[in-house]
Amino acid sequence: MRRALRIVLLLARLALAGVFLWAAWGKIAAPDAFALAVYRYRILPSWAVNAFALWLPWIEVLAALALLVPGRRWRAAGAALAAGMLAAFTAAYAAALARGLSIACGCFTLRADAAAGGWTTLARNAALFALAAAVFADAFFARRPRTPSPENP
Amino acid sequence: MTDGDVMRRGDFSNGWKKSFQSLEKRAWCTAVDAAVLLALAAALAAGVNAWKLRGGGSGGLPWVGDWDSYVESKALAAGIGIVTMRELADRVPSAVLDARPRELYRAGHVPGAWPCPAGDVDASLAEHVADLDPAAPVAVYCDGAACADSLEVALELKARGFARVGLYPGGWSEWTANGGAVETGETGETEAAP
Repeated sequence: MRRALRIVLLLARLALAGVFLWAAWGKIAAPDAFALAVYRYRILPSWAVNAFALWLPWIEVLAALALLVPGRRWRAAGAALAAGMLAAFTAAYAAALARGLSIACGCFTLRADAAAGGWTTLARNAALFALAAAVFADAFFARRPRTPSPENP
Repeated sequence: MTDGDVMRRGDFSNGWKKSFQSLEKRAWCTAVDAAVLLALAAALAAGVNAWKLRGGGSGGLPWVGDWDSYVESKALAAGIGIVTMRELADRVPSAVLDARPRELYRAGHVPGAWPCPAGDVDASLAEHVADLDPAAPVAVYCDGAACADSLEVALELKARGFARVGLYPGGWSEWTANGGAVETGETGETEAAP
């Protein structure tokens, strides 16, 4: 049971890291297309759109790399960033849907002929968020293996 | 032995306090680590973008963009909607108007679109879409985001009582760059809009 959980968590880390690296690649390659996608959410003020579009993909890259680190400390930070980003993306897309904007997600593909994702985008983001939250909980709360010490033999 | 038991009982409440403190410490540690990652990401973004802007790679972007004067902002401020390439390809609008000069229209246009060059709106409407319902969705495009003709035509349609005017900001350049179908010749004769 514990072993199965370990394997599931390891797969979750690999999947999250892969998803974030893949997502970041397109955004770093075409920052202008990503900035347009960010602009179309109509959430950020005009002056912040480009800076956000330039910064975000590198956060995705570093969060993905931190998730792959075997040490608990950076894994927790990476998972926290991943969960935070996914929560923010989901909220932003939900806000766009609620305002009746039919925009493409801008998450993975930045192609001009991308379809508006709608509810499937929200569901996918929520599932990824659950994975990130599980990885974070494991890295942050799980007890460290007991090390024998004079006080605690 | 008794001493040990007392110690252990003392440890229980102390241990709880300690584990709570260590959790708090760990939360701070994680927050600081996350902030370090965010700062590193900003530094990487700045470095790579500076390198791209200096010509080391394509696609450098100014840190502050002038999105307020972008054609979509102007359209939205005027109550004109935005039509995406996918919506145009799926023929969501009832009528598509090409705001470019007629020669360019004849050389190639979005299938089913009608010519409606800026400055000639009334004649074009009367000629091609005289029976168009003003409540029907209409889309207008020109070359791309840098041209103003589609916005001009969209504003004129709005002034003529069309309620659902949409702008396709990507325009002809985006349409052809992404493999959109092309129709040539005069007034949508090769393929009529359904």
